[in-house]
Amino acid sequence: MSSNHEDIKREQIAEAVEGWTHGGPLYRRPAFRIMILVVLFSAFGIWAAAFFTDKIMPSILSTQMGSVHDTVILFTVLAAPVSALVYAIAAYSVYKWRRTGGDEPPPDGPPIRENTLVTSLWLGMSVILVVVLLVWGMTALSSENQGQLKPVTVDVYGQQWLWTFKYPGTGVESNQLVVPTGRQIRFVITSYDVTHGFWPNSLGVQVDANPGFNTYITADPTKTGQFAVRCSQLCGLYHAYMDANGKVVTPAQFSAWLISQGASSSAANAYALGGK
Amino acid sequence: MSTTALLEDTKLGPKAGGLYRHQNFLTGIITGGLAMLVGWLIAHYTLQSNANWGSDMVVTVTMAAWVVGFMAGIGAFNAVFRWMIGHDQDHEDELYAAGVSQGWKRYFKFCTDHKVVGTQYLVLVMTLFAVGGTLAMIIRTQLISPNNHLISPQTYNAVISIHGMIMIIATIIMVSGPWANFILPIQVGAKDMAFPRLNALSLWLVVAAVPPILISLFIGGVDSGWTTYAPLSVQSPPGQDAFSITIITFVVSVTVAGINTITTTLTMRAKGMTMGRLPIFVWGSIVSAGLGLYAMPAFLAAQSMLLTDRVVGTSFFAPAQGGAGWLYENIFWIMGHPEVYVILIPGVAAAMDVASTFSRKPVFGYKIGIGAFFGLAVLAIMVWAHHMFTTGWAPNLADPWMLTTELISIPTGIFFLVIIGTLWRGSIWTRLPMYWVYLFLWNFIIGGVTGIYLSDVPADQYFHGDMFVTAHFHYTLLGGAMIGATAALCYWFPKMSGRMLNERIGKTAFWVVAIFFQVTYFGMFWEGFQGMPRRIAAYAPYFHTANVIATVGAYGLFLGWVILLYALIHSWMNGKVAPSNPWHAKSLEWHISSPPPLENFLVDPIVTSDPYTYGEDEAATPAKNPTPATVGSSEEGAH
Amino acid sequence: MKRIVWGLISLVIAVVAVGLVIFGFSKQQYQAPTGTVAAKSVGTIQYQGMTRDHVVLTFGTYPDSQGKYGTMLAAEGAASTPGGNVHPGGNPSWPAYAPSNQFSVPAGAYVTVVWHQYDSGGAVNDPYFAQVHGTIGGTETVNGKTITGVDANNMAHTFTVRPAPGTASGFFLSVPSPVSSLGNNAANNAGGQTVTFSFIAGAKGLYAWNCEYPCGLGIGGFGAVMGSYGYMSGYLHVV
Repeated sequence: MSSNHEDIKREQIAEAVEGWTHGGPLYRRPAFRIMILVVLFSAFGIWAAAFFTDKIMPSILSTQMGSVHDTVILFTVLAAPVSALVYAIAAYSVYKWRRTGGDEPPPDGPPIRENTLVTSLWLGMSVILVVVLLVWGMTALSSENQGQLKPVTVDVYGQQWLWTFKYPGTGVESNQLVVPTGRQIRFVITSYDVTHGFWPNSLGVQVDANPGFNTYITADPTKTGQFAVRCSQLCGLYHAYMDANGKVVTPAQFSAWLISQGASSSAANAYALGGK
Repeated sequence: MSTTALLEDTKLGPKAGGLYRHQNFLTGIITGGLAMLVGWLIAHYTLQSNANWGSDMVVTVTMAAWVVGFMAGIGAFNAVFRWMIGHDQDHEDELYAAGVSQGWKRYFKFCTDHKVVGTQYLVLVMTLFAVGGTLAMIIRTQLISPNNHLISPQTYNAVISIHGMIMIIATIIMVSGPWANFILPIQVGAKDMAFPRLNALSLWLVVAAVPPILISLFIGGVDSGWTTYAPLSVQSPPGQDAFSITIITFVVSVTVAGINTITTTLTMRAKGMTMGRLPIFVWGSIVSAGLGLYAMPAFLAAQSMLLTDRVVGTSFFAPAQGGAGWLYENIFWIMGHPEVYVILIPGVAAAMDVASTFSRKPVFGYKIGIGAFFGLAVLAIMVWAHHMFTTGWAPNLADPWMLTTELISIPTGIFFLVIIGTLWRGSIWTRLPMYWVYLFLWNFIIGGVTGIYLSDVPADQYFHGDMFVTAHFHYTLLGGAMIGATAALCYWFPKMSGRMLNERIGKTAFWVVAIFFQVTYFGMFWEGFQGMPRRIAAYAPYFHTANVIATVGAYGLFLGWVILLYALIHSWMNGKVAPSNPWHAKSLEWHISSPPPLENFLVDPIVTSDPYTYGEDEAATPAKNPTPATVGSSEEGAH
Repeated sequence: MKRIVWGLISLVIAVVAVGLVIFGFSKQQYQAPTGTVAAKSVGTIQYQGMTRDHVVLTFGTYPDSQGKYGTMLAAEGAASTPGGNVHPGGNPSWPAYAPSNQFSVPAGAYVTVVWHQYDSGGAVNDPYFAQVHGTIGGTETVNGKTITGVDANNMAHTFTVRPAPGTASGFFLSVPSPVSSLGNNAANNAGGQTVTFSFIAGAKGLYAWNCEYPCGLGIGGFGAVMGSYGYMSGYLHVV
């Protein structure tokens, strides 16, 4: 390319870049206007996430569900400004530089083919965000795996199209899932036929029930309340009806419930209250 | 152009084409139907040993017979057969096969002209979208009240499965079918695809693959979703066998088409068309095709194993006999995740090219954009198990899968950088294709960000398998890829049809689609946060509000697409005649007439720069040809 | 103007086409010729200090869905025609419920079910379903003998009812039946066992019922007949 051409190009690019931060009063500069749009879009995104977790999602009955809420909020706080930047630039471009309709195209724009600074900043920002997300996820995951010494074990059986729950040692089998607060619950999950998805939704955990072998998941209920146990893996005809009622109760209520289901009081107490 | 006789007008001898002369879509259907009947008779009277389960064998044989019969009937095997008996096709036969002197009839034939194939693909894709969209309306109508009794749960499961698979088939071919066949060879300066016969084969294989999956709706259906997870799919009604035949046929088609696209780009480029001068759409298409070559065979393997489990009693996935559902899930997602990017990349690439043309600027970060395609393709093959976070499989690998999954956001972020960098300070020419690019940006950001929640294992333990996922992937695949493909459709429609698309109707369609899209999937995100599982025919009453929102949105969305379809048909029939370069774009397809003649270029083009020389001093660009017709290419000897 | 008219016509065509497809699919749903079978009122009954409507619901399970059910159902008022088809057009080797798969009972009523069971059986997947759950007294009566469960390794179908998802006030019911006294030579009208049990129909709503005994083929015995709506599955309308 001729040097003349290079010069023109450089000039146009310089002007394009300069327009970003310089020229005229502050409120007229693209950078300023775009930043305002970014703040507006981000605020909306973060408000939406807070609204959804607070008002729409089931209540927090376990530490795992708490971490789901926190993750949604944190990830939104991180992602909203980035998405807002894209929206802001897109919105600004169409507001400021549009040439409506016509059969003839508008004059060409400046030939900005690349910009190392912008690209590097963009890449750096993505990498930092990914690292933050990853560290957050790994931390949450490893804390989830720290088991207590003596969890309450519940055997979960999936079958087309019902859940049944066994409370080992007490002889109780029910189509209701009742778990106590203050103890770690260890679910041992299997299936009699096809794959089901065990999803006690306010406990914030989920794992598939597979035929022929067990899968495991632990939850730490913190608060009493009702929840639904759903099947999250399409399992045939009445998949939609594969709901069970779940309840988190205090250890004393749990023991009483086991007795009402036919357990002996010594077995129920030993199981529910963590005695020997 | 008047001085050169067009190839189309060549007079062919009365026997040119041989058997091809008598074969078309109709003979394909008749032969396929006969083959089906013969297959059914043989299977029914010889193979059916068990009154309950033998029907699997009958269905499999019948459907396979249909595919082979249809392909034979339309003439897919003629050339191979003639070559085998030593009576190869001569030049006139080849011209006949390319559609010379057949007028509109060539669109119903096994035609090797890449432009005919591209147009056929477009019609096929739209038909598939119409079918899939109708099924979506059935789903949304069923979900309009918590315990609707409109269709039986069995039919509901079949409808969601077939809706999913039809849409996946349609989206895989929605860009690589019409545009990588019609536009890509012209963009690289080729006269046709590298393998014209394979090109026609890939199209008609998809056509042959469609009836079995539709028939499956009426023979018990598929009750395990488009993923057809084993062991449920081993247990499914005979509809599953037809489904498997469809997939096997379709995978062959995608593989053949992928090889064709890549070979064309690598070997058939015009003089001066270096790899660095290819429009970014070409790069997107070949990366997507290459990724498809890696991914799709795994689907063929999964479905073949499933079919043998069902038909001849193998036990790859039957737990009681040593098989495992996890084996299926792994093979499936080794296909399933890359496949998402097979769908996405060409749509994104097309949107980049459209953004460049309508902001009158070069594509910003051309090289890093291509790098992002490759990065995405490489990462895509290392993330499949994030679909299995909650299956219980390999919990120790959760961290690595989370890492690779979150890395995806880096190349995806570059896509946004490329597009907004292209828009930045451009002269935004607000024509219809550009509208769709903006909608693409809006939707794809939402789709991308919601994917981040799902990549986090603890959060996925809540969101997995619920409507949040459904809303997320509709935002990426429908809101992202398919809107990108719509931008491509509106962009290249004048080139393909020779008519301008009616922008008034098109913009009406745009606004209806854009608004109701948000309404529909806002409803679904709501359902997802509330904890409504996917694929359920009845739901708890407190999901009702969100479902009504989604259903109303879906009806509006459907109407929006119908309006667009009306705009297309209306414009195709009586739109304004399109000039050769209505957008004043610079890639090669805009240098030839609309629609292009057979073999595209009357004279071989010589390319002197990439197609993004907007705003650059044209005279300063060194041209090999003394008087280039336009910057970016020229037609040597045209003067 | 002309363009708008044509546009509207296209929209109408599209909507009508989709509506027809939806209508077609809704017609694909299995409907027994008898329609929804309503429980027969037999007066009122005192239960736990409350006066409730007492209704009787009668149905049967038959090993051959293409065969005919006996005169019993008609005599007891469940079906209008004696000896009707169990499941018209069904697979002859599949069992089915008759005279319908849709039953309706009044909300809050005291429902007594009379169930004629003619099919053979075997071992159930989950012994939980060999026990009676949710009936009054937790029992069922088989040929006059009151029991709380049947042999998990030799039982026939179950009548398992669960409420629609998310309706906590609904009731759950699961009742097993013993095998036909003819065992594997079960015929549509011989060797029958009469199972009776009672339950209180809870809140209004649509309840799904199915059989939890794996009488199908394939994985877990839940393929074929079990996955095909209408044979071993249906709805209980509490109205």
